[in-house]
Amino acid sequence: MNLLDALLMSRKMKFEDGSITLYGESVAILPLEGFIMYASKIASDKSTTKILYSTMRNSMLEQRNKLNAESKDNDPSGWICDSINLYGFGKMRYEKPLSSQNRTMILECSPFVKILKGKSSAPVDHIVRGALAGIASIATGQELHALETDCAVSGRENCRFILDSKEKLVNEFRELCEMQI
Amino acid sequence: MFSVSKQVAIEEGAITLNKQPVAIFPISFLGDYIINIKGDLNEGRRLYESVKKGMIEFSVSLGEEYQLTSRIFLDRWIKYCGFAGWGTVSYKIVEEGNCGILSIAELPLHKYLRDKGVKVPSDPLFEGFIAGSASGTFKTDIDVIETECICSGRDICVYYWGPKEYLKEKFPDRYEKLFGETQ
Repeated sequence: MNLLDALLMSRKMKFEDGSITLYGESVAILPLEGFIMYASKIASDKSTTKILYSTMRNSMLEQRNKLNAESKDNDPSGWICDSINLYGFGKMRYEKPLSSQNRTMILECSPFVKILKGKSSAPVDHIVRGALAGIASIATGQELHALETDCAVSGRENCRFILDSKEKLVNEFRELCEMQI
Repeated sequence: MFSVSKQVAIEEGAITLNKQPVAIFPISFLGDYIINIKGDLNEGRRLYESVKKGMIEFSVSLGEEYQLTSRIFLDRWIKYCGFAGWGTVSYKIVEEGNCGILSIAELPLHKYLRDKGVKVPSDPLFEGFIAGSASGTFKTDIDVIETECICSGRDICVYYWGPKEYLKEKFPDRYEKLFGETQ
């Protein structure tokens, strides 16, 4: 049984007339094309991309108490991917098994990439990057951020994200951090 | 009978509605993003225009696939909105074809904004969503102005849709603020 089926069966995701809740929080389903257009418009605007990223990260962190209980019931590493994959922003997996030394994530089949491939030289997955940072912070109990080091819109096979503390990311990827965090 | 839930397909990492990509968004993310850009009219306009353009493409794709009349297509949009967590929606055509009024009760996004202290209608995201959906449905350029909102103490949120000339004549001040050349 996939995570969505499990959530529906356990009533952790509920569809009611005019509203949807997931883990008790209000959510909505939106066509992605509008956000994809918006992501392409703001791709080179570092101020706005940072706001988009931090708003999504904070939105996840605000649900810390509810999501924390869920992550504790599951293998935290698998729960991070399952949770991201639930939202419909692409298929997230680990490049290698998650460890303190390796926090590289790969995003396949990003709908943003499907539409924007070849149309942007800058990364476009700021919403899923924010979701990843927030969910991974909750699952690991650490304050993590996420950088997109490769984006498939500019010709890479898949999108690649590095998860780590802000301090470590700044030390290793100063320029990218100035653009993204 | 048309059933929205049967049009939804969910795979790992991908959700589609009538074969078009959709995603689940936390209302807190959408609401906080609107609050974070609230003072920046240019950013609001960029969000509105982007979402409108995306929704036109989404609507055109759906319309081409099902070859629906505008009225049937509009009725489907209303069902989509209810299913997708956008409140209880009803509409009235005020001039056959291109102008109308959309009323939404219990719009979760605006309940969130209201609870966060937002007092006046200021949601370029949902206005763009409606403008693009209506433009794609009626196959002409349609814009949207929110005239009542639960944020300002009303019972429901009310949106007027129509061509720019119609909105400019009916709501000159709001039009100038949202679409005026001085912006």
